[in-house]
Amino acid sequence: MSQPTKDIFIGYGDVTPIKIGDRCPLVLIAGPCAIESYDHTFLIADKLFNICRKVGIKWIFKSCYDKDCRSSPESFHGLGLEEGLQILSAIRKEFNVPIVSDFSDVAWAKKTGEVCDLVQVPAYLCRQSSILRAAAETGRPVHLKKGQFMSPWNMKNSVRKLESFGCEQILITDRGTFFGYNQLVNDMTCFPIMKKTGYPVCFDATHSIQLPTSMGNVSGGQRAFIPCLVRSAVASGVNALFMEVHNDPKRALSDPNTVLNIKYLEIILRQAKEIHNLRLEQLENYGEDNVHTEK
Amino acid sequence: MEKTMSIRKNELVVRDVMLGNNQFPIVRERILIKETLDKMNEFSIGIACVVNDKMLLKAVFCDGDIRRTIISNQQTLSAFFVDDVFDHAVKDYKFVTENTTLIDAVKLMGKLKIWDLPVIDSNAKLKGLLHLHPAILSLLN
Repeated sequence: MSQPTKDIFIGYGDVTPIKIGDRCPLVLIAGPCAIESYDHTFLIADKLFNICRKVGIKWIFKSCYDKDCRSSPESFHGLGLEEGLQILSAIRKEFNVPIVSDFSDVAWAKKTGEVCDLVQVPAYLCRQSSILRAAAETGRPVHLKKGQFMSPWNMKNSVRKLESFGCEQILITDRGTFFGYNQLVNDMTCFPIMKKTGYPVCFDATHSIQLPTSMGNVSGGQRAFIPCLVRSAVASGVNALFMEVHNDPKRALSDPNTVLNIKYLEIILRQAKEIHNLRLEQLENYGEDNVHTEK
Repeated sequence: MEKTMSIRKNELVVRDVMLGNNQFPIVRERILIKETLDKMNEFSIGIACVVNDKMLLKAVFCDGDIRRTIISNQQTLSAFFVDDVFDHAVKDYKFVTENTTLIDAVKLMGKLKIWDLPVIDSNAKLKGLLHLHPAILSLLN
């Protein structure tokens, strides 16, 4: 089942590229769900910079300029394309860190790709050909999130679309799968299954504990499960972790019920790194998983 | 007269009756199982030859492989459908060449209990497919 995937490289220009792949150190993609303000974005980036330096883990800063999938029309959308990208660009320059944002409209793709090192296809839009084409045409690596409604094996179709549009640098992320109504479940077999596409995989811990739109016009969440799911996913062979963090989750303008309080991040990352390094050591000692069904 | 006919049948070679490359399913290595099955249904033939971009035969995938995989892997059908055909195809396939006598080829099919044999040259380039029905008919007529 398990097979080596290709390495992908995130980072252009002055930013040192980060390699994500099967024999590589674990990489963190993290930041506030939405760009709330210049100062807040810098506050979180600074905290991430220090935590990742202490733990010894490479990171990519993530935040979105326009959250187009909020449950309510009154919910905060973000600062918008222009201002949002300016802030991300400043973060990139200040911390010498690759940045990623999603885009929900084909018209936003080009500008997103001009600034971001990694462009993200939102989970709800993961099979939209126009979005996938726009993502590929940026020329940047694409962070493809698995729709909550998608089976892991069907993600291959989205990957094939991206490839047909010229993209060969893809990171596929699981963020949970619908389990009935207003509930998600994580299936750890999705990682080796999605790796069969030939690309590295990532686990989105904070969206996985979401209870989608469970609170009428907002999504709930069960943050207590984040550490457990992170350990499970890393042991299952993910190449990167994705977590949305905030200094004051209750007051977060987007996903207040799922973002991780950043004060917990360091200990979670330390555990994740240890498990990941043990897995790499086991790979070295015992090779890839080699249990096959017999015909 | 009977002796002459017998000699002619002995002289028949695979090239005389094999299907041309446009008459049976040929797929590339990274084609999905679902797409391969569509191709096999289109030709009503229970084997697909898996080739690379130089038409070199890399593997074969047949009805038996489908049956065995469904039983052994126990994937859902939707998961099986999107697997690459190459992952489930037989890489150490049996084959004949264009100059193999038809009688030898049919005997080999009987021994292996198979209905189709890919026909390749010395470089493993796919030249055609020997299907049991036309082979038997040629020997009977």
